[in-house]
Amino acid sequence: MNTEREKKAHQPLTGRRYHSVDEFLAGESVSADVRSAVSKLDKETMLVDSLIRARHEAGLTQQQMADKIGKTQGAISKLESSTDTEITVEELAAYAKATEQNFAIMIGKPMNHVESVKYHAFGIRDHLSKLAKEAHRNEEAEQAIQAFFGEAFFNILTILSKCQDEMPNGPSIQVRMRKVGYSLPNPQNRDPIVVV
Amino acid sequence: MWQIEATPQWDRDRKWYEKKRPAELAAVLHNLKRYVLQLNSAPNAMAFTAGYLHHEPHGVVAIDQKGGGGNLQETRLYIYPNEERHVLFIITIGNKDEQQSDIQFCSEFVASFASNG
Repeated sequence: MNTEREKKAHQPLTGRRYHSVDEFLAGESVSADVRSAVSKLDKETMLVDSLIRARHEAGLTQQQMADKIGKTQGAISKLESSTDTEITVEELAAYAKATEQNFAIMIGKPMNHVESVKYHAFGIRDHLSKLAKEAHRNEEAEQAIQAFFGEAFFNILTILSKCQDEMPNGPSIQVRMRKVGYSLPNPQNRDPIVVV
Repeated sequence: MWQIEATPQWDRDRKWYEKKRPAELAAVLHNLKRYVLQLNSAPNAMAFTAGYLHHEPHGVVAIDQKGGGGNLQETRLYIYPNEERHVLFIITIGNKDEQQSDIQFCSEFVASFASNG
């Protein structure tokens, strides 16, 4: 028994508390080399970690997930401790089905932030365009889709506005919504959306 | 969300590992991140298992270096998830040879924590 160590076990704690491991590593001055090595390892388990998050968001324990996909809790534990290269498409599909979520996997060189914003923006445009075509089906569809367009417009502008606030020069662009909504079904009665 | 706090012993041991065994330190810290992800996902801190986790006496959990690559020395990061306070204490780190004394040390820490609050 190491008497000296036992004494150290009674020492007061540092008193420094952190909300994440990354914050902890930075706050406790863990070397940049070690932190970089940790980040490299993190990249090897991004997919598996996403599966853990998906299970959590679905409110499932490992045992409940095991029951849903016909495996044992031990198998789920093993899967969730593995690296991305060990995961099979079948397992991804099973998690997607059990958690009732859609998983999109992008393979290849990671996109930078600008590329990613463009990718998603084009995706939004395509989906909105398809919805606009759907709106021609009947009046009910048009009303629902028009309402959604208003909501989407407001949300996108709000996102832009909030991100602008984080810029060094602050909220230099001000976006204020005065009215969102339409008096459908008569398109002539639509209240305008005003961006100031 | 769980908070993380370290002991002075971890700080000393960590410095040694940074110099002598950085790959092992990175591997256990990576697994610590995965553990915290699970901890924040689970209603009960002890409700999940993982290949890199070892449950020790008095609620102490040991995280090993599995997944960090080949040829790594067996290493254990000892932690204590206090469910009442939602604080994860990082107690110490050591190798297989020091396992018994490390577990003893952790038990002392938990006992001291329980008596002093």
